[in-house]
Amino acid sequence: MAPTKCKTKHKPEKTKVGEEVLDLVISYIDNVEDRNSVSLVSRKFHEIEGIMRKRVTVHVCYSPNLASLRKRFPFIESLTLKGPLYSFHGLRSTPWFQLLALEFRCLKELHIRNLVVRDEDLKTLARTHGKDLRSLKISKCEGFSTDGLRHVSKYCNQLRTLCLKYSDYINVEDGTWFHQLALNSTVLERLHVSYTDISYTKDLTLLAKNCCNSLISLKIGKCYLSKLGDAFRYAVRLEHFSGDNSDEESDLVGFKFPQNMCSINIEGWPVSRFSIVFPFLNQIRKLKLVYLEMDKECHCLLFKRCPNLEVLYTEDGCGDTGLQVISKFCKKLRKLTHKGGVTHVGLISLAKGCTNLESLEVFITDISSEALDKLERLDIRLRHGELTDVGLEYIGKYGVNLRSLSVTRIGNFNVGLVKLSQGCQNLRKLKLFGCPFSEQDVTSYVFNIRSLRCKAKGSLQQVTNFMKKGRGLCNCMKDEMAKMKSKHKKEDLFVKTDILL
Amino acid sequence: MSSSSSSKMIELRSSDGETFHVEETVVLQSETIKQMIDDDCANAAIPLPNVTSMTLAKVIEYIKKHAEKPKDDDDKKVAEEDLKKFDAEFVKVDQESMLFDLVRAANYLNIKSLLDLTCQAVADSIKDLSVEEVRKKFNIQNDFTPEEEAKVRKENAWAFD
Repeated sequence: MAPTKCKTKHKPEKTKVGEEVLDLVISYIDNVEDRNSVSLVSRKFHEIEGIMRKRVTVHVCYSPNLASLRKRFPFIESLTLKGPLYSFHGLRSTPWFQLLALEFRCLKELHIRNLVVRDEDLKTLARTHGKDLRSLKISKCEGFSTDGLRHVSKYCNQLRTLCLKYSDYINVEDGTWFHQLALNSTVLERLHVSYTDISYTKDLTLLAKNCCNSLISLKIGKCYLSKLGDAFRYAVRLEHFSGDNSDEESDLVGFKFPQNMCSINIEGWPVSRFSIVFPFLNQIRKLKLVYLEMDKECHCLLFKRCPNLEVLYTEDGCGDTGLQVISKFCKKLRKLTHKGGVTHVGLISLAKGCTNLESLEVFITDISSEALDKLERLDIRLRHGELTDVGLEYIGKYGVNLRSLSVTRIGNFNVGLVKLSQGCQNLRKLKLFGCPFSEQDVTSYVFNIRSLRCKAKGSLQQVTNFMKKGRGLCNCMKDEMAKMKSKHKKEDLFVKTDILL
Repeated sequence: MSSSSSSKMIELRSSDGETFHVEETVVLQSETIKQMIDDDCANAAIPLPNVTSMTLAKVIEYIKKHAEKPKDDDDKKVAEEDLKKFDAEFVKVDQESMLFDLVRAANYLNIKSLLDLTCQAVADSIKDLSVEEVRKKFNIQNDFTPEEEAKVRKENAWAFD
């Protein structure tokens, strides 16, 4: 406070002003890339930015240096640990749990992906951070059982989110953990446990009763809707439900979802069951349609009733017609994943109708569209035909906002690749699957794209050559590759891996 | 000290000696000035040695706009929209130095909503800039050794995104 100089026209030193402003502004910068830039500005800001960082994602296979993480980001509240997408040799997360036990007292969220998690790890975590933890997500991990989860349900009573996604390998010992969870939770908002049969309907009802004021999202595995009536009556705030239900239609007479529902996964339902979602389709924002055996008309019938739809996943079979209906009725659509084959005809009408669209994943037979200029994410998979160089040129031309691009089964794209790399200057992630690319072209042209991370699929030799040429390549990644090579001794092994070019 | 419906005027003096008269109810948005008034230090003109007249005029424009009270609920919605538009226009200043000055003034005067607005505007303007561009924008000298910088770059790229 106490300012001393008040001479007229006094100008504080320019550097000081800049530092003062940046210091105030740091906490308003959300984007990680931008935070990273700030961390490189000077030593002082490296330190300030580190202290103020709340959220960090660590790719475990590239950065096993725990000490540096602790030193740089002592006050993080949210930590995501990611293992390799395609497991090299089941990376263990134990050292991280040991570190967590001693450090990071501000931790409220922990997300773990593609790692080996042991029951003992969960015990350590629950005992040391149980009271503070608000969110625990364990996705695609292996190595733990319901024994470990019992510690979570015993100690982590402040959880708002508990998500055990795709942990197929989970060893289901007994339902005690779930009973404990139902007994001890009062503030749970999101429960995602789709891996398992929650046949403990009673406990689910108890959980819904205890968390009636908080529960908004419930994803479970195999279940009977008809037995969830009580749970749904308690869970008045519930907005999302997904569950693989296998009821007889006759059991569902009078069944009702909670009235605030605005997101649902519909998986394998017969058409006759749709009447139970009609009451809230007009308020639905997210819809996932899987394994439906409906004729075209029926699908479009659903789309027509969803004026507020923002996110849609569909395996719709009616192609361009479906897209045209969507573009006409779902004006608020932001994200679309469409597994039915479409052409540029449907895409163009989509681009014209759904002006908020920012993410698109489609199976496509032909593309030559101006549909791209607002997109940030694009995922194109070719089913028939091929994406020509002209198509890629279009993506380069109109995809200025693209941050992530994934292309599968592309025919011949040397010229297209050049055009693509010249246009998409904001691209951060490029995935090429099943593309017979010329290594020469990829390494020489794709390098044009600033700080690109490329996920390629190719022979080991191709990948290794990529890496030799790659900039900023980290040594431990090389070690990883060397290990793999000696293990398999095969030159032509297929690998998928993250490569920083 | 009785403040009736027509609010008392407070006199503010900028660093370059210019004085501004603002209604007390309006000026109370600044926690710093509110504290001064509460402490009875506001009988004479309040000196604001950290804020130039140009910046202070902008700040007063902002707090005046934000002090307007909607009459009823219908009016409230319109007013909210109007305020949003005003805010968006407010941070579109010709010179970046003005935005910086506003950030500093909002911080010094402790006006939370103005600080949020201006800091967010600066934060948005950093989006997708390179490190060199950020340094230039804030006029900050790089004091890393090349080795240190390379190390941080490597960490940033691989581990911490």
